[in-house]
Amino acid sequence: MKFEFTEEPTEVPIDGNKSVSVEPKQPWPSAYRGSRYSIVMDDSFDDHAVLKWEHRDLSIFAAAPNKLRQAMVLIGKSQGLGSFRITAAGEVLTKVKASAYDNIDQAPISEGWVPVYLGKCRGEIDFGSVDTNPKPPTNEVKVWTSFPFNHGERWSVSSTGELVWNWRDYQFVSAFDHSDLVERYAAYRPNPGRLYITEHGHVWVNVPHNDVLPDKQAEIGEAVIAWKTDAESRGDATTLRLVNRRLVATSRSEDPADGQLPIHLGHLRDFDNGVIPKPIVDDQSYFLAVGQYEQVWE
Amino acid sequence: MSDNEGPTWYTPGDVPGSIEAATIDSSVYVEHIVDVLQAHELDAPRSRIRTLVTSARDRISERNSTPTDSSDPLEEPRAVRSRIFDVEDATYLGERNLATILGVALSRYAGSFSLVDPQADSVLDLLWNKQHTTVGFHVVTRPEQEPLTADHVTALHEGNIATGSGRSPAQLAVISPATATERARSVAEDHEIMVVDADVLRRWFNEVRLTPALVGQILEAETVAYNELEHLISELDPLPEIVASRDPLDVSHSSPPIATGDTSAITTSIDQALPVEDETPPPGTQGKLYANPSDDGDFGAFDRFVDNLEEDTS
Repeated sequence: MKFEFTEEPTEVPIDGNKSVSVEPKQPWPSAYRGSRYSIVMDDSFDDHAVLKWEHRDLSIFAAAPNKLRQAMVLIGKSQGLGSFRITAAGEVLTKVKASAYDNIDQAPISEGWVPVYLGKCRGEIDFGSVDTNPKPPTNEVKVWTSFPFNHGERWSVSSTGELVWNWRDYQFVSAFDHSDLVERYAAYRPNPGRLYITEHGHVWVNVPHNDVLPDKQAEIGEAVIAWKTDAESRGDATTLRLVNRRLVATSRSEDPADGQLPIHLGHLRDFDNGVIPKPIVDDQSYFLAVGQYEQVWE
Repeated sequence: MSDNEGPTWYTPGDVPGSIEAATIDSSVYVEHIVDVLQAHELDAPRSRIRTLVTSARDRISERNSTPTDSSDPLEEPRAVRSRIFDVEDATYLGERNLATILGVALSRYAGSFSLVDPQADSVLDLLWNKQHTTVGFHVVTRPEQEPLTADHVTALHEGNIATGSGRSPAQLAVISPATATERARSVAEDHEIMVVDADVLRRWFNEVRLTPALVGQILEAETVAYNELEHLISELDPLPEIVASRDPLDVSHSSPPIATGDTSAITTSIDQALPVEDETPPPGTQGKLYANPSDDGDFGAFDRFVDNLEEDTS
């Protein structure tokens, strides 16, 4: 499905077992999270705005969606340029400088960068050689072939089996029960760890070779061999490079083989009746911290 | 498949014999053996075949490195683990000899080479003629401990690049078995000069696999007559397709699949380049991944990751 952006409200769970309806252009009352993209002006595109995914030296461009860029302009982003996020529910978020934000009176902070809800998106951004909505595995697992960085909400599976959204010292538990999803995670990895959920509902995890349950090791090995054989036969340098970079980035030694392999666990619709994890921000100081800068380290 | 359809070391239906024959011929690349066995003999994952080949080669090497009695059918001792010409060897060559060896190495990938006549008073020593372009190299011999500096790059930038014959080079490069300093790289970038230093040469030498004996023959032939050198080069087995398809001047790749006859290195410490063709998209392209290939890790890591999984199980 082609990417579409619409200005529509969304429901956000908040502290006190409640939820609020958030209108486009209102301050975002939850964790600032999701896949990170940006609309940029680039010399090599004759100064036309383009949509960009990047991580260090890696980058890929797509056409900038007009409606989204228009919304960015109207919210106070100069020329409609800047970074934005897409949550697992397809909510598009950006940060607006407090001094340029019309709805600053509704925001929990009065200076810095205010997280703002813009609207919802559906469908896929066309990144050509990188599919952000790959076919999920049916029974077993696959190698995660989409972006292995800045892609998806970053959750953690806690030792008590909860899904927790972490940032710095803040820990926000999901408003819902995710026992199926956690069980799926625990079937492969014995220890708590991260789990990523993309805007299309895909769930991927990092798998180090020495932290996989024994009865899943052969399955993961076969998944790697199948993916690699297929990639080589198609001459797909992109997927080989992206997975390679994930190993390099997560290895604690000089050998990328000691890194963590990105594995596609499945799709949210296959777990817990398809419920999408949503963190409840129960510490208002979070908004002060996250609003300090446009880009914050994660 | 008939006998004459495969390489000389390959005997259809005889995997152990083929591996042994390939081991005896030290110029045969392990990946090439894996290619052939996977295509014609073994329905198994590549990593499995590679392990089979390397362990067999290790066994053969070990066997042949121990003293043999008179019943050994091989009449002459041979060095199975014959070493290949490497960067350290290159530091001992003079400019012209080094230029010759580098020219041979480049022509193993593609094209042809010519040495610049010393009478031309050119800063260039070597021309590599490819299909649509010519690359001119300024060869810098350095002791191993001394770096390739910005002065060497400047010498090329400011020097006379006219060679008096042949095509004018479209690309200039400074080439040396020494390691380039950051400053040298920076100056080279400013002047659009390529830097080919020890890291890149290490890959070339590991990929083209020139034995010291062959290097000796090449240098001897070069002093006799160029056509003798050409004849010598034409007699060499072609490089495996996966190697020959690479552009040696794509300096993104670091170390290579196979360094020496010591095959145990294959699954432990040898870097492997991207195993498929990689084209950098032109600026302003949507839907193609831009990357600095020098930031890639060893692509052999995928197989080792799988191997490690299995080791963790056992």
